[in-house]
Amino acid sequence: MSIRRLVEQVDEQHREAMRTIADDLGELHFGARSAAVDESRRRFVRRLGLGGVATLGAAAVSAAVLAPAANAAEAQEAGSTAGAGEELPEVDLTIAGFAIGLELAARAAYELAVQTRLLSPAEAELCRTFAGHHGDHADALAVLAGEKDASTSSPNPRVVASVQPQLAGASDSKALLRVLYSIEERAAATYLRALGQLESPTAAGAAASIMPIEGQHAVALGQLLELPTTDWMPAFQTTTDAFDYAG
Amino acid sequence: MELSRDEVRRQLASSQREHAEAMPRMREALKRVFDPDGDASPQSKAALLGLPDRRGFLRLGGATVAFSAVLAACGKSAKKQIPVTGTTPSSVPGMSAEVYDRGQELNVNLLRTAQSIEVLAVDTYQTALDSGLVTTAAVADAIRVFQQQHRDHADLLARATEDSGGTPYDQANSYLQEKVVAPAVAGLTDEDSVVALGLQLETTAAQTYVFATELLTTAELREAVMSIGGVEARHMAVLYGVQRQPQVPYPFMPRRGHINDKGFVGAGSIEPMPEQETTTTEKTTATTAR
Repeated sequence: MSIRRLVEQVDEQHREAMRTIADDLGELHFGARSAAVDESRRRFVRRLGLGGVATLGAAAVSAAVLAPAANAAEAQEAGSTAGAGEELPEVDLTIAGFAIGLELAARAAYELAVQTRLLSPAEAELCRTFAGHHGDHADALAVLAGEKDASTSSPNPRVVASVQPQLAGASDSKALLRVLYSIEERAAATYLRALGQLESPTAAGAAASIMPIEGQHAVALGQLLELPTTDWMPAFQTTTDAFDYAG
Repeated sequence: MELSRDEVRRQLASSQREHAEAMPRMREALKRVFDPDGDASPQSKAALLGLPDRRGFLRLGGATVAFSAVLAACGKSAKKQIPVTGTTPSSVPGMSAEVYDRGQELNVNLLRTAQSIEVLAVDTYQTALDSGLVTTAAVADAIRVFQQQHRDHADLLARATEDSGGTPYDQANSYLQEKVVAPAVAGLTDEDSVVALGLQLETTAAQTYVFATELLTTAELREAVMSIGGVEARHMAVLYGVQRQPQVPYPFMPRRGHINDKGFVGAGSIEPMPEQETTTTEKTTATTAR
């Protein structure tokens, strides 16, 4: 591939990223979706004929069917009597709270790795990027839980305790990256486990948009470490080695 | 499917430049939204992000609980039945069967559509391998691995469809085949074009799974589909790397690239709701296949 073509590709990618950044920001906090996405969901729901449920008089039912698929206004117009549960389900709050701490711990691990100066400049930059992703995840989860951002939260002490000794004992870049790889795999597993327990579709949507990114981090690190393909490219994401948020 | 270390490092360098340019802008935008010294109210911040305010959000959450509760009120069955999540049951007289059918129809439609995408991916990768255009051994190996994993995914989705009372859909998605794959295959000229097509399919699949997660009515199905969606995202990361693009270009998996609603394959024939003690509504068989 010629340098010119490579540059053109990067430029195109950059333009695409900038063109869609508003959309990404809109999606960044889960409940937010572009008008196009909302319209897509509404069309999909209409195609299924679910909108017709509203005419049957069971307001809570119609709102419930529509809510995950359309926007809040549409659900409310359908006559939602929802609100019996004026709080996020307790399990969702627990999981969200744990996930915020997990993300902050992951970010801290990357930052610590960079501070060791054992990493090459390229590796360090990769770690800064991934640290930023984890910070973004924490902020978005905090918004989901009703907070302004994650600034008042702390890295989860149990997660920190489980990875700190490994980070402290790492004597070279490969050892450091191996620890970070493990964190990513365990984070992805944790989100999948959470998806099996979250009650709110909105919270599930949040986990679903984060989990793939942790997996992609794992791929990048796994390839960098030249780990066996089977390590970072399983046929299915599993919950193996998920962090325990119940303890 | 090992890429060389030098290759990875070249990808990395490209990735870093991209991220270095894009992330400050994203962070700046976020900072503006969440600036603690700003005078924007929480409501306006939420509105800026398109997020319902907390009260609105809780209403959504409440609605969800209500729906789950109604499903729960459908009762249990010894037969296969959509598992439910929910809290305190809250019956809506005369509506149980309707709600059950709608939720079941939605779930089965999503599962069957996902299976159709997986089958399409298997077929498309075979076309790519047969084309003779893939000349790099590592890329060919990757495609074979992905293809086998898509077969595995299709099998899981078929089982999930059956468990949800539906009939598996074992054909390739005709909408994507016609609108996306066929034109792309006709224009394949080299390995790069094959990789680009693979990335397009993987992206559609991954984002469709994320999209589906917010629609599926049970936590078990959400977990099942994301056990697949997460792997499609990993495929994306590898293909991005082959293209020497950033392997993790976004901090969140978008949904905007999900399959067009015209590409949904319908729910087909669905096993009717099991007999319930709590409802007198007649059982129905929903058929929405196109």
